Amino acid sequence: MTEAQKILVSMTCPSCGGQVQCEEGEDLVLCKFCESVFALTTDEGANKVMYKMTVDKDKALAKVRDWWKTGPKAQDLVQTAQVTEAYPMYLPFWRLIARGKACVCGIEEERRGKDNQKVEIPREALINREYIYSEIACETGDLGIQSIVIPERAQAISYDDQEIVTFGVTSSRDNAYEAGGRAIRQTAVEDGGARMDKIYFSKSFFFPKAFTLVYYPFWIVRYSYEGRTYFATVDGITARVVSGRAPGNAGSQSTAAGIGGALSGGLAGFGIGLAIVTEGTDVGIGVLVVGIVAAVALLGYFYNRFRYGDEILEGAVNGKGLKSGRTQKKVQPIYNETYDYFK
Amino acid sequence: MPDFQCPKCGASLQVKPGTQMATCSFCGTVTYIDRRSALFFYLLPFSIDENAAKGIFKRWTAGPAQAKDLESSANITKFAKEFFPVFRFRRTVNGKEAVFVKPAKGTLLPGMQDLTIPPGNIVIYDANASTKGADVIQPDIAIDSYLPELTGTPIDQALVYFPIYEIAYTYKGAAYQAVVDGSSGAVYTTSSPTRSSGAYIAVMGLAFTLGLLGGILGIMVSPIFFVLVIAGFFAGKLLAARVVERQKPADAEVKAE
Repeated sequence: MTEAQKILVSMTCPSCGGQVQCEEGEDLVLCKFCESVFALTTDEGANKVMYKMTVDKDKALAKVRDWWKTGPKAQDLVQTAQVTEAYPMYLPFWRLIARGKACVCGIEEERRGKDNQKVEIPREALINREYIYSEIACETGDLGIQSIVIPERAQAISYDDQEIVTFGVTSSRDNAYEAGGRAIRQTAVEDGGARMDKIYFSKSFFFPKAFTLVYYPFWIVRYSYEGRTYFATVDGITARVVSGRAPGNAGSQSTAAGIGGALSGGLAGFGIGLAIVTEGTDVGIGVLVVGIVAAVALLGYFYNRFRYGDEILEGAVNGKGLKSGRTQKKVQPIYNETYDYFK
Repeated sequence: MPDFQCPKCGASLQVKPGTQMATCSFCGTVTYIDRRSALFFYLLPFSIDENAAKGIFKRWTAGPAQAKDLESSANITKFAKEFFPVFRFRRTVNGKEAVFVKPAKGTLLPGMQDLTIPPGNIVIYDANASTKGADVIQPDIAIDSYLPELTGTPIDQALVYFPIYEIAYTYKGAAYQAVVDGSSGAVYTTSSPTRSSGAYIAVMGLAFTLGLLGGILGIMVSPIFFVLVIAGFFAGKLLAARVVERQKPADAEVKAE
């Protein structure tokens, strides 16, 4: 027997010797000749689902052009940027649907009455919700996509090798399953303790319902601006720009420096001045505190826009730059499957 | 890549990466593939061409963390398109699937120590696979050197070649290296010329000081001093424009030598 022959295991029915058909991920097989049912003990496969791409190239490019106009991106981006390539692809995601249950006990602090007395109210929450966890099943590289939400209108199609490039799975199925369970339990506890200021006790469980390998469509659009290559990815079903990089706007950066510096300085100065003029009354001190807090927040916000505004980062892309948009959370609740109890 | 034959009819069998079942295109026999002892050869094709890779490097040099004149002064001395080999082991450890990635070639290239296989379309590497003119770096570490140290029992193992652009550049007389992942476009570096935040802090500090003086004097002496806050804005904006202003490179194209 050669090395190659050793790794092929013929699949015939153990009862009648007829040829059996089975699909990846199945663990029970029915022989179509003698109708005997038998179990397969191969590696446990995950079910695969692929969603149909419904956004065409023109729409994806139009969405990227709209995105160029938003935020503090280079002013001449729409006029001068050149799309160099745009191609569709499928990315793999591990998706765990599970019921997350948590019992959380703690207290909520409230200030009541004239003298603002702190009152502790004991709270108890029993969380019983269905959650969906999804996590990309390959390295993220510079795609900036970590997780997905599958829209209602998404149409599942059978998984087969099509012309569209499908990225390979490189992460461990069991690691993803464990990480998903942990994340769902943690979210259930967080949801239970959302109104509590202190949590004294919590216990959580998760009951898996489905674990699937999902292939979800995206467009990758690469474009050049001043000889540099930037990119954006567009959701292949909702047409939203989910991640990308774009050149920043130097004008916005310098304006941010001017506004941030002068305004926060002015606020702090106003607070200090008022505190001195009013000779330390409660009102003066109050304005001073509010002014300084606001000044620090403004200074931080505008400094970030000034210092890192050379490049705008959308989604979960790595590196220095001005973050914009939101990163898709890995755990999402299914609201109509919620049976919570709060006390 | 091992050659497979259908155990029923002897026709050649197409085995797709990552699958456990193969169907013979001639007789329809379904065959289970026991991958435990075989070594599979896979390749991630380039989805980023040379120009796009140079553009990505140029984009990275213009980033806010890099020295301000890096984009205009970086001088590329080496630009190579290569396939880098790693071993990927899928094993069952304590009843759970675990994936281990190990280098198949000793290297000091940036990012190659993380040993992650970049996202990409994994295809079988055989005589038909196109390398599109890239150098295929041959492994110099044998798979046998890893097998004894790995825990658990094997599910499958593969030698995966993934696409990289190796870039060497000089800046102010010092040499640096960078790697652009040829599949997703991620940039890996170990050390690189960075930009100081000093000028940024100084400009905002000046605007802040003017605003602060304007605020204090405006309240305590005369509202006329509030003008200083506006002066702070314009001073900050003008100086900040100098800080963020880019020197246009004399030659817009980054050239490989």
